[in-house]
Amino acid sequence: MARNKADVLIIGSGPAGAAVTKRLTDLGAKVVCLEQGDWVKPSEYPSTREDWEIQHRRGLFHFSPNVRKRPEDYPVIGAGGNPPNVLMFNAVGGSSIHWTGHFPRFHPSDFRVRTLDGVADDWPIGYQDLEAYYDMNDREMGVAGLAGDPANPQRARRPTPALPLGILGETIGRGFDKLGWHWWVSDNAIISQDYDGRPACDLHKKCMYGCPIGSKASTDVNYWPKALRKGAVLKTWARVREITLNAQGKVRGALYFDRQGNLAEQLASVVVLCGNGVGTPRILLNSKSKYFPHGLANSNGMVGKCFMVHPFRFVEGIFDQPMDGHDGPFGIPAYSQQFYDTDLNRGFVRGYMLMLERSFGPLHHALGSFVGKPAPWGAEHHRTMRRRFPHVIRITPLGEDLPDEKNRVELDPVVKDSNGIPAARVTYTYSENSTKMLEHSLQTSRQALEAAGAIEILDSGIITPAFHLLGTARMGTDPKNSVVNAWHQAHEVKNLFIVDGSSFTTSAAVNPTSTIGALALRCAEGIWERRREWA
Amino acid sequence: MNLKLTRRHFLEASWKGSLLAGGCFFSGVALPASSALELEAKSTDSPLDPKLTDLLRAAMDEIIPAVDGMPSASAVGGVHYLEKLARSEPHIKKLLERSLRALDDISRQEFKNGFLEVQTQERIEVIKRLEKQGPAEIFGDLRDYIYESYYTQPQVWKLIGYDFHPTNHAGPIMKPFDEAALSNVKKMGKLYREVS
Repeated sequence: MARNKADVLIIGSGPAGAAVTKRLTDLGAKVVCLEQGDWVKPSEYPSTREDWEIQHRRGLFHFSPNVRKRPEDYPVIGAGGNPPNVLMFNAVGGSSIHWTGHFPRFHPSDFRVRTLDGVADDWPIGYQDLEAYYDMNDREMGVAGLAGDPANPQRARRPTPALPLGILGETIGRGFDKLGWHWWVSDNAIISQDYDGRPACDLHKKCMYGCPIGSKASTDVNYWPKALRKGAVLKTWARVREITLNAQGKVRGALYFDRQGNLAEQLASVVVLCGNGVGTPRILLNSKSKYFPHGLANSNGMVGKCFMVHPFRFVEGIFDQPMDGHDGPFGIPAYSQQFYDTDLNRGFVRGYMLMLERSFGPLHHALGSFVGKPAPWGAEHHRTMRRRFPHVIRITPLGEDLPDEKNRVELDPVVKDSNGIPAARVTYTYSENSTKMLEHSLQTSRQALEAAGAIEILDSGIITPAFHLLGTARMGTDPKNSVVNAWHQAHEVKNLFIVDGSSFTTSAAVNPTSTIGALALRCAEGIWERRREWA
Repeated sequence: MNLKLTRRHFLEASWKGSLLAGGCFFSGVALPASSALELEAKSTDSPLDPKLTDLLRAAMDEIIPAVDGMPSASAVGGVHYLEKLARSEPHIKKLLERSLRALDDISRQEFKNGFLEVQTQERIEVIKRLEKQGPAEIFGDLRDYIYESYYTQPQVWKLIGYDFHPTNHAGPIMKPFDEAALSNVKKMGKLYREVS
């Protein structure tokens, strides 16, 4: 067994693991990262190929690990009233390989949900604690956008200017204006100008399956090259089976399988778990010992509980004029936070964001697009396709989910991954609050699309929960109902830190990646400040 | 008169012009003769039974027919595409065979003849029956793979005005973001809640 001891061992190389590694390496720590996947060659991205759209249906870049079934993927079983179809990617860069690039921030009120609205819990930190790290993460990732949004606190000038809105952005903007509603051009982690050695986006629009030129931020093209140059060690094809403990019940390192299936142990003074909201509790629950018979840091039974996703639906408006949603950067061109904060007159607590989204190509539209309504076959087929493509604007409402202990990640008693490690089973049911919120969002999406001139509206209904995997090793001040403290330190194991979507106390109603990166940078500095405690 | 053609106008003009262009015609839509001949050529090593291959061709041309100036599914190489797919993905071959056999069975039940022996109107009825009686995936799989065979073809993209914009080539030309679009929103006061 290889036992070179690191100062800090990071598990997972996605948006959290990469940020922690880079920051600690910059500060002078000896860091080793274990990643179960490999580097993805940009030339392998389906976005370079004419058949790129079939990845919606099958292939090595499908969003679901259960469909991809790459050797580095692990199965995820869905259960509950709304069994999730969990989407993630396992590679250097993690799920930043596969994401829209949307980069909004939490609002200050998102950290004070209990105080303001009497539900869920307050975070033990506030917006002001994260603000500098949001800015630092923006600079590292590379962001396009425009400061000055009245729905958010003022922020620093964006690293690159806003991306083009396109015809669809300008059209829906006029619709929002007509209604007197808030809207703003989005921050996206897709650079609009050459930045930090990476080229500007060339607007090809297929980057949801990976950006082959590195304009869309993924941590394999921004954080990792810099961290490696500074001396960080990244071990790929290293799948962690469990985190190990020493005789004092402190973390000693991690046991992992290499590509050949050999078991090795990486020792470290500190371990930081960054495996995402499903992978992280899975590793903790698989790390059973005499000290922690129910899983590491899980004496209170909270590991895996309070799993949150963002409730979504898709609403499409068909317009007489072409909207060219298949052109331009992916990302999110614009959003409205008109319904972000609680208004109990609406029948639910908390709120949602309306995101304007681009779409894929003609095959996607023929198969029913995001709303699951395939073009009819037969005599009407071509007329319908001509009416829909490329005449669609999509609004995606993204709502705040509230923590509920019944929604949880556990170990599946039967299914295992290719190394024989028990798979994750994710149980989830939408709350009444979420369903009411999504019903409201259908009406407001419809209003916005019609105000913009839509001639027909198509709705997906409430979709299967799938992404933004949050809350399963939650941050809190009370060791009875949380797993980590305000510095991401496990309440029960002082040299174990957990930072990724699982650390979220509440979900807010924004995409989580910019917050995950900011939390990770702050966590890294906290670990460095306590370095005298490592020995 | 503004004679400058946008990309879309150009493509629409090309599509309309193709009705009059030379070459080999499929129900009114022109494809280059060499391409058409190549697509029509039957594969000698089809993974499907020859009868099922003929059935697939007949079914796909009812599902995506040659109307409204567009070619049918088989005219753009749909059979070849799905044969290739069935060869590389055995489970897809099974799904296609299941759906095609179901079509033939319904045709025999309803019209006393197999799908290949009945006329277009009857074939449409058979497909409607398959769609209605379910299980949904038996019809859905067939339809979706046929749609896939059609909308992955560059010659179809040209006809519907879709530019693929390959990587390492110039992308679409888009107007840069103009901050003036936000002039109304900028007049709004602060919209977020302050917290202590």
